[in-house]
Amino acid sequence: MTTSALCHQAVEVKFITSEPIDLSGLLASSHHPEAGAVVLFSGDVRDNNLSKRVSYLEYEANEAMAAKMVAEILEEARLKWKLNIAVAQHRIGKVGVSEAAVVVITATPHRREAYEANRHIIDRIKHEVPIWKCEYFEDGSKLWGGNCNCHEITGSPDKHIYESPQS
Amino acid sequence: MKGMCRGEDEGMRGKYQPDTSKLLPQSSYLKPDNSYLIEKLKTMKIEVYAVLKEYFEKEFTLSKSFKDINDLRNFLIDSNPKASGVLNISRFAVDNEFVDNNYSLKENDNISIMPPSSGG
Repeated sequence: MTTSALCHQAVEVKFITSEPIDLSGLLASSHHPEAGAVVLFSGDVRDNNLSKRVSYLEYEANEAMAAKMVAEILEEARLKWKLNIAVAQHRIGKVGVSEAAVVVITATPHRREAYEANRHIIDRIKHEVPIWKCEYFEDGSKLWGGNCNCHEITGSPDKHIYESPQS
Repeated sequence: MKGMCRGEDEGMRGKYQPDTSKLLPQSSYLKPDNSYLIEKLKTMKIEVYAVLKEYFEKEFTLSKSFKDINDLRNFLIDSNPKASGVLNISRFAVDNEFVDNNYSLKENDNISIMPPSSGG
């Protein structure tokens, strides 16, 4: 399964895509009659990192595994927070400065659950899903990085420390 | 984590390319008939991702038996000691399912080796 059907609409979202992310289109498709809160998180490419000017990023994924994991993460969150809408999409390939590399949209009756679930979903995508970024700097150097370093603390590549509460 | 953040030029040197002539199981040579000639070569397909591509070919095959993931990891570390740092923190999958270090490898398994995620 590589796409998710929005609950009430026939729109299908590819979890992993090499096309630019259509933020406004996805948002427009994410309104729900029972939802009073819609939260959209867009993870954008910054023009700097490690005190160096970034030209662009290039993302790589194990696409089959990544799509399956994103689907599972969304489904778990949908059940836990009773989400009306749960959408996520991550881009692969070259992504320019100010462009969205990843988007997460959650919609619920009230804002608290939409925020919580959204943060949970992006945390898990960043830590667990097999997607990697390579930074290309203006000075011509490149760096595979921004890696999840949780294993240094937890001792296991399968145990992570999340910004958001996971209980 | 040191050694994972490598420049392009340095990382492209010394990629591991398996010498399959040395990796054929010894028993293949010892069979009394010619069955080994028609026997489908039992191999393990390996695909690596992200920074691991600076140490290994993106995809390669090994015609060798490994007891488990630990065994395979140690073999790869011996093949390219510079990759030990990242191999020791990478996750392994067989046929696109994560497996732990004690997973018993079978012939014709498709292995993915994945460094810690850095998406988002």
